[in-house]
Amino acid sequence: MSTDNRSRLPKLFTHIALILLAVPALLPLIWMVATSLKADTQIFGSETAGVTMKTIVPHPFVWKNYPEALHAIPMVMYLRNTLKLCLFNVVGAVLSSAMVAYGFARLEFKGKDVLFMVMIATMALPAQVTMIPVFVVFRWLGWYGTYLPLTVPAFFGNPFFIFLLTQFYKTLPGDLSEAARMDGANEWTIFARVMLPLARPALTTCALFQFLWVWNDFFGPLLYINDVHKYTLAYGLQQFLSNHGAEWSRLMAASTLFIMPILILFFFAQRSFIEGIATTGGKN
Amino acid sequence: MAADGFDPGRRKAIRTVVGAAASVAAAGFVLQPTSFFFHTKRRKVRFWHELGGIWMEPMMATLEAFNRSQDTYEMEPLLMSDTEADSKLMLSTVGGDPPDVVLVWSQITSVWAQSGLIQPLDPFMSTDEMRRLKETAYPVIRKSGWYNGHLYGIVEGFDLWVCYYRPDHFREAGLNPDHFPETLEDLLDVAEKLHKVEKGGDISRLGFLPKDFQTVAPLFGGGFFDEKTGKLTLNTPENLKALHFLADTRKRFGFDKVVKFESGLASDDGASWSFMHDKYSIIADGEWRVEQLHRYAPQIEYRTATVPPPRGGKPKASFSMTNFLVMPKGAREPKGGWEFIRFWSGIHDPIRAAEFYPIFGWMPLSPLTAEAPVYQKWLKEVPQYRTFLDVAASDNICITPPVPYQTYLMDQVQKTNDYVTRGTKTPEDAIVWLETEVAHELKRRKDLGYVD
Amino acid sequence: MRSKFLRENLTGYGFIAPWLIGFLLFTSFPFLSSIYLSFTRYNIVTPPVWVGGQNYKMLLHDDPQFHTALWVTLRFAAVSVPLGIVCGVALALLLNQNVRGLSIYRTIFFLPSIVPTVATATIFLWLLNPEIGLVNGMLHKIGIEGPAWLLDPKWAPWSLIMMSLWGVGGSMVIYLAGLKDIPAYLYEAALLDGANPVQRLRHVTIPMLTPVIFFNLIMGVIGAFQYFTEAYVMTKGGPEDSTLYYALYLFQRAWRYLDMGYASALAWVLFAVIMTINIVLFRSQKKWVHYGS
Repeated sequence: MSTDNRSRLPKLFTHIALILLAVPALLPLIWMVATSLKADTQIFGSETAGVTMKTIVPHPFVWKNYPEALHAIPMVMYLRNTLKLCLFNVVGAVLSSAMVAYGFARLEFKGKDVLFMVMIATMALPAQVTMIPVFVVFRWLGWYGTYLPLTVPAFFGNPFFIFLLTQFYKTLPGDLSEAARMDGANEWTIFARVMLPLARPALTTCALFQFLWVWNDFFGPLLYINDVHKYTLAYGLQQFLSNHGAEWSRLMAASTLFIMPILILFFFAQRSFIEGIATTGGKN
Repeated sequence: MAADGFDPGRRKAIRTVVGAAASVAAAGFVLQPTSFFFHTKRRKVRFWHELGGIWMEPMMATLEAFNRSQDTYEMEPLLMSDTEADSKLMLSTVGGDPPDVVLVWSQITSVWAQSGLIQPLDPFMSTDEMRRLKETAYPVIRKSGWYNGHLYGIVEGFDLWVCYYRPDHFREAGLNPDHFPETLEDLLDVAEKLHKVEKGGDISRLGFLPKDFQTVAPLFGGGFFDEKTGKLTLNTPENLKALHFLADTRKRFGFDKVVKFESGLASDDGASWSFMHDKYSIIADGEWRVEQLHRYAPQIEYRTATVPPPRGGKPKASFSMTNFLVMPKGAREPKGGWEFIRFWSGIHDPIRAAEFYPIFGWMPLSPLTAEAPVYQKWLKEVPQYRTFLDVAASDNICITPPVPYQTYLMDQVQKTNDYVTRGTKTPEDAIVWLETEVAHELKRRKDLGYVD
Repeated sequence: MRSKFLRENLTGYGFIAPWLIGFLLFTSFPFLSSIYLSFTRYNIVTPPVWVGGQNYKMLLHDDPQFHTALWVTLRFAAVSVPLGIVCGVALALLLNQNVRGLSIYRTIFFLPSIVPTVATATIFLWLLNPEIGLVNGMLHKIGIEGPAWLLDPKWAPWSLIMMSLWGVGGSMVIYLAGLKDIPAYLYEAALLDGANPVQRLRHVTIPMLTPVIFFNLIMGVIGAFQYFTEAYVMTKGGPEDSTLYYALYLFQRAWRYLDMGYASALAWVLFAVIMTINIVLFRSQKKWVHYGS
């Protein structure tokens, strides 16, 4: 375990295990980047195809795939739209879910268990069959053609996050909130002042997931928006795909650019898992 | 707390990079969206299609040509991806906001026609246009897109299957490339001389291998429905012969060896087509490969020939898959939609439309278009394409049965093909399975109250 | 006393109000209408026609594909969910060590869950290609003739289970967050008791992680029974229906054959299966899930 700082051998083993596992984890990315630098004729040809040292390296390197991919889709416009949706969704989903989860985890009220199961149940019905009535609801509300169907629901809590945060709140030690209650704080104050800061790693996780989902979602925008100026990056990627005529190298160039922001975001967000919180005590 | 292994210097560097990236992103927000080539005053015709990738450029060129030719209408295109295109189309039609024209790739127009998703196009057609379609278009085009006595889809490009072959392989094997076999039996004999099989039985090159049930059946006089009576024809001696042919050509090498060989061909799309990589000497494939060979492998010497029929079979027979232009019910600009359909397809002006087919590498609807100078000029560049036009004029082309359960039917045909080509069912068992399966589904539909 | 009860209840409802309102506003109607649709013949475009329990009757007695799909999916869930949990926890534990370069490792293991599915699918088609794939190439070197993987009905489901492990980076993140919530004093107490690393793992880390494991178990079950995208992209249900997952079959019925009434019935049967399993799991919580306070 991490507390065992004296022996070096376990650490060496950890490194070896991690490196061995990292190779397969990296393969999709490596292939993606390699493909993004190949000419279309290089990708699937019998001599140049497959995943071996010989075939993975582009020969020659075709850098122009990147500017071409950038040119093919209105990147700036799509990026702006994507970020707009991400912002509202992350803020909305994390705040509302944190609040609802606190209710389920830390408070007692009538019908709590039943309502919680109902919430879990909303995730168990395949979206394929609710798609039409959901669409009908948004159309009835007059939201069709706007971003509202893609942002407003986030403010009403996401069952996945609510469940996750409930699990976290339940494990947090009760003494702090008990102390606050003794000082006369009401539940809202305890939630905002005590619980939210304590749950930071879990909240970061939720924010990250929400960002990722919205970033990758092209069907939502496609379904509710009809104006090409309002689409997102994930929709833009679709332009390189087609029956009998996908443009692999450009698709992979665009995809590489597409995942970079998430990569950077994750790299920084995961610090909050390392640092933990002083009160619960990181193990180091 | 150095767990993440970063010294302050690198931290700072990263901050700088992130900061720079952030400013670029911020600058992006200030820039206004780029304007498209649309004109603002005309009536917008909404057009949904799935022509991404290499098809994007010719699609845009076609739309621009239409817009230039117009004073009243202007196209507003929207690209779909194939997984969700159908759901989006249905939802927006149900929701009362459908597009005006849709280009459909899958063989699904009868299903849509029966469900009431799309509207008949014949009311929009002038008598001239209808006459042209019925009298001058290729035979396969005349019968495509009809359901229940109405025309629901105008064909925009269609697939046929002919043999592509490599003269260099022929010469190497001591064969004369000028004499392409005239019967299927002879073709197999020639293929024997072209196969390359390694010691362990692994295949490195195939002389010829028939592709699948639906494209092979017409050669034997088979098919899946009778055009005159409208009845399904599944368990027929002709179809059984076709399945035997598929099974026998694989048994010769061992089913597993063929599965393994075919898998080595990976995606088989665009530049990765196995024929371009010396995996086949003769292969039956579709017309879009001509343009792709031209683009990706101009150095390869190849020729085309019609797939020879078996003795007693049908000459110049093939199975055709078609793209359709359709119009959803409730379209707001049906006239504008029709205007575009007839412009692009050439139903109205076959000569004018001739410029669009070469840029896609597609087959036109009528010989009138094929004879236009623009098209002829392109044919000179790709003489191999002529074989396709030759087959297009044939009466022996089968189409997807225009029944309201055609998607289900063709999925089962595909499964029948898989059973036979993998050797898990004998042709006899497979054809009975197909018949039973389809009959079962038909009964189910009847019990539910569908009228087929 | 009564007013306190009321006050407590009101606070509780106040906190869950956003979800409750959202549920009534956006979710309840679609749910109810899909129950209704499951008793109809509905081709999406024309209004539904009531057919009573016929969809359910056909589904249970007269649809071999339904049975295939359910069986294929049950098997997938039974293997992939436990496997995903074991691998996710193991990976998170490895990444919770005090070694250098953790940020990099974590990012690497998270990568497969952000690479677009097309890229992951394509690379898997390559890796598992029986002719030129890396996996069979390596097996060949140690004298094993590899199977045809995705092209063999026996192996195709296993190939997809293997592939599902690439997505373990997502749950790893959740486990990591859970690990960081374990109070340090528990470890200090264990050390004072002279517990060795294995004992600390068994008696402190794993028990304290059970709430998060429980979460991933429930979500894993829900996800596995609705497994769709990879199979849709890579196998389309084949070869020979060996990867005809339930959601794939449902999708076909709904959008390809325009039989939304029947698809709705399929969906509600799936719903019943998932919820039965979930309720059993929720009941079992008392026995093995440890909530700190």
